[in-house]
Amino acid sequence: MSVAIRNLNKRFFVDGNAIPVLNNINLEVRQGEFITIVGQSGCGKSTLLKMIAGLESITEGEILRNGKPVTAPGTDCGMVFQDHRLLPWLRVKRNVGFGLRCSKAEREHIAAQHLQLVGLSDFANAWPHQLSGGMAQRAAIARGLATNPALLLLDEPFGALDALTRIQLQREVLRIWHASGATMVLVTHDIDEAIFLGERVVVMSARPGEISEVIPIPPGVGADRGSLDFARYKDRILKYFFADEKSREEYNI
Amino acid sequence: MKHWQKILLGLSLPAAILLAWWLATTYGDIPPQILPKPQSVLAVYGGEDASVLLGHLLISLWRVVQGFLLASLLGVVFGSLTGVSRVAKSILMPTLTAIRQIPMIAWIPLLILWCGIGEASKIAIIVLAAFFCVFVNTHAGIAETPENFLEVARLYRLSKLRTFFGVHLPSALPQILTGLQLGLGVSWMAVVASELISATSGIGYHMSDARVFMRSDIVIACMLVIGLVGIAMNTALALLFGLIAPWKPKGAHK
Ligand SMILES: Nc1ncnc2c1ncn2[C@@H]1O[C@H](COP(=O)(O)OP(=O)(O)OP(=O)(O)O)[C@@H](O)[C@H]1O
Ligand SMILES: [Mg+2]
Repeated sequence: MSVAIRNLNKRFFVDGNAIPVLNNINLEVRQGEFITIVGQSGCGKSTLLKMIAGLESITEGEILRNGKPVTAPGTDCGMVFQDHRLLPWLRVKRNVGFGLRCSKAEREHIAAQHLQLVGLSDFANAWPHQLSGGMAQRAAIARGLATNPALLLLDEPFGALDALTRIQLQREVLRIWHASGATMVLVTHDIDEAIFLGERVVVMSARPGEISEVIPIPPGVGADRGSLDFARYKDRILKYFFADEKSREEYNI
Repeated sequence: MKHWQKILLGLSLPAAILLAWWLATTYGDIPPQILPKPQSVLAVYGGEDASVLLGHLLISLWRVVQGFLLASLLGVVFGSLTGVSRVAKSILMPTLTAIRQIPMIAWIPLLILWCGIGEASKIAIIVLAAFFCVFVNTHAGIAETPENFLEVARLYRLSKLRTFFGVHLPSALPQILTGLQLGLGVSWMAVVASELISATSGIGYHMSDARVFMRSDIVIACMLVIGLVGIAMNTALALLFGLIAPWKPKGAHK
């Protein structure tokens, strides 16, 4: 699924005051592309994803999914929220199958499949409150993948995970992306992750959020985190957040 | 503090009261019509007196069951309506809030005029008393369904009905159950109060009847039963709710 964002502005109204959150966003996402978005906290990344999903209203401009203006959520667009949002009253397997419209047997089958994918098979019958933060996030990823959407929006999906699980799931997401051909838009605050996963990295500036630069990552660069090229792209992105060289070096440590 | 220590401390005050009661009635100069001996109250729970008491108790309990179920149904339905629909809230809330200000007891005269002193007026008073507990809690629970969960429902394009039964209702369930628990307690109080004022059967009637014959032993025996039944109903409901909402971490139903 392709996404086109044109001249998009977003303002929230708080106590009658308009608070600009996103300013003049333009972005074309090709069918099957993997886009990552980095930006400081509060710059409107989650808001942007929700608007693409059709969960948040558009103030000005337009968003097209496959050429059609977004007015409401669609079944072919999935989202993994920043907070896991598992429903506390459903067992983990029912949560994973929540978005599926099919027979009960099929739903259970698909849910079990995706639980295995994120390594939670043993917790299929657990309640969400019995999961750790990272496990809950993994279950949420499984729910997002279960409907097999043509466009998957991921809002800092690995934020609550330890480094090892994070890398393992990043690989898993890449594998799924290759296998499914779905379009992926992933928000992260981890620049390594952005370069590792993204074909293009969208760098956003602080409030009101604007796109500072869209950086294409040539094939092969992301795969080797230790390479010089990787470091160069990382430094280029870091420039937007830390003006001076010294802080960038500190971040790298 | 250990569990048995807590229980022991909790029992110490009733034991002290019982002792003082026994001492006062055994060595003091109190007429038995005013305060009977503990033994005579205990005696009410055996023999002829007991079966009469049990008969009245069952009548009262049956009234509570009918009234409470009706009140619960109405409370959950109306609370859900006002919880999800702003129009329903605007129509119903002002009137219901105004009616709620009238104490339950103040309805009794009118209800007797309308329904007589039979079953209908007893059940009506229970419904009036319990409805608001259930209604207010249901409304609050449904209206405060976290926006985050509703967003998940919207993302997966759930219909209004499925969103209600799949998100609103389970999200509000703990609070609805609290309302039901309060409502049952209030139902029990309401039925006893209305039977005290005017009735020809039921445990409240039994008490006021006993008062006429200066049988303070029966009056106190009934009071104890009323208290114990109240505790039993509350506990039973709490246990039941533990089964209905198993996703709550342990201890959330206290
Ligand atoms: N419903 C709302 N009403 C008013 N303001 C809002 C609302 N939702 C978000 N905002 C504001 O919009 C801005 C952007 O929020 P958003 O959640 O999109 O940030 P973010 O880039 O995802 O941040 P983070 O990296 O911390 O998740 C914030 O300043 C936030 O306070
Ligand atoms: Mg966010």
